[in-house]
Amino acid sequence: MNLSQDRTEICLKNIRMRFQMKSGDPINVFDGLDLEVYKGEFISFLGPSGCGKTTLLRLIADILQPTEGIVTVGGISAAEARKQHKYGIVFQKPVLYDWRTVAKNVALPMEMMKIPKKEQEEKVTEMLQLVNLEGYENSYPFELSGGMQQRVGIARALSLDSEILLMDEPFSALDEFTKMKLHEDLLRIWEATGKTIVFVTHNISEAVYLSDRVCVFTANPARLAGIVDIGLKRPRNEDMLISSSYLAYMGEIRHIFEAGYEKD
Amino acid sequence: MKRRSVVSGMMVKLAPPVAFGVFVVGFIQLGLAYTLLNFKPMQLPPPSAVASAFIENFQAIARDSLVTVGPTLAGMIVGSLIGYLTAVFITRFPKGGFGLLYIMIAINSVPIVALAPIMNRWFTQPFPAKVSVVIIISMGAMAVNAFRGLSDLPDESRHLMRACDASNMEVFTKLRIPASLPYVFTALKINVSVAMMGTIIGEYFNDNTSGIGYMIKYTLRIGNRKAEGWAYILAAAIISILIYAALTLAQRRLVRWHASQRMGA
Repeated sequence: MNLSQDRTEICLKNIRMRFQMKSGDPINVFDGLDLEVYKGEFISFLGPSGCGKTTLLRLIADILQPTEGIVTVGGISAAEARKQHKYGIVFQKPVLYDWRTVAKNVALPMEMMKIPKKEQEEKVTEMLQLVNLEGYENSYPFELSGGMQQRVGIARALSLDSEILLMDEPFSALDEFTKMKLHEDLLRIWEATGKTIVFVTHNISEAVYLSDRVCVFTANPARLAGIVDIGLKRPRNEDMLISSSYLAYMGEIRHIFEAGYEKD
Repeated sequence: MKRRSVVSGMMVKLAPPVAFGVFVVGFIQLGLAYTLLNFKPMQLPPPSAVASAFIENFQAIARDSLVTVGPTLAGMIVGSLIGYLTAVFITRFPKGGFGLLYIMIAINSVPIVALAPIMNRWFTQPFPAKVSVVIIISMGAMAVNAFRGLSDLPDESRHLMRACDASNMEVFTKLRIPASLPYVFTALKINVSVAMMGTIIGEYFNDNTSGIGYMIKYTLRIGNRKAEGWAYILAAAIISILIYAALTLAQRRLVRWHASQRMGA
């Protein structure tokens, strides 16, 4: 009991969300959801659109607040954790500020923290190396490809060395080849930094390939239908994508989806 | 190689307006406007007469142009500034502030021809009378455009600010204000012609005997000075184009990151 508490980084307790729609009845999301995210793990929120996976990520990020329930991050409230810069966030779109160079975009969170200029520059160089973008410091976002822009977004999220990395479908707008490359890079960064990663996706294969645990969400009503432990050994590699155990995990998750829909 | 492609790019861009200008000037100069469209030379002096009137009266035109440019720029700057600050206020306090936008649009839609005589009564000096007209008519475009630029941002841009625990001030300085710059230039470019029009109409109704507006009114009434009147119109157009070009250059420097600066690039 104590042991598992020590390992817990993010704790969601009895979460309920009510969205008041402009027309019609309010929509209820999560019927008292409980979830613990462990320190240093790679956890995915997987599900179709409307299943609440992004909402849950935003609850952790304190972008949204739950109607009922409590979110704690490392023992403190989500709001407090946000103010202490406990997490970096990567969005579906790169969300770079067009008027800033790559270096300035990466430095943005550090700028807000009033970190000395010299230190910022060193960190930017280090981060750009980490995401394989050395030499692009002075480029503007419009000069980069979609994959490169997303790398800048990841470098920015990592720049404060926050313990948690929240990623909201970060690769869903990228082509398959770029995505594969970024998967490799992300796993490498994760293994090098030991961060806790919460990864939202609608791609089953991606979730299985990257994660320690996959939380499967179903829509209508939005709920957590099951959690699958992925026992594939680390480091992961592309050969695993055709292994029988990988396919078995894919099958198990599909099965949870199907069971979820049969209930409707 | 790069330099050359820039030059050829400019030529391609300039070709249509130059061709159009040559056509119009040629059409009138060759007498087609008079024979085909039945214009009288006193209604529409030939371009050669306008050109020589422009050169002959260059000193007077330059003097009057300066009289006109002053209030145009002053009014445009002050009016745009008021419009921008209003937009900032509305963005910061949307609930209470939004009504301001309607007031601004309402004031903005008072016709200039009504406004100019009123301001000439309110102010005894011509300069403040003209400036006030220009201020009033250039506030609205800036307020509406700037508000759009300051507030119409993707959710994630604001979420990022929240994740960085940004203060309201930082949200403005780091996100909203830079994001509004392209819209500011759009408004300023709209305001160039509006401001020129405001000043000229102000001068048209003013008792003061200088400025492009006054000179157009005065010379077009006199039989043998019609070409001079057209020379003043030409001067007004040149001034507008120069201000517009200056804005375009500033825009190219300040917002070269924006999509509007990359068309066909």
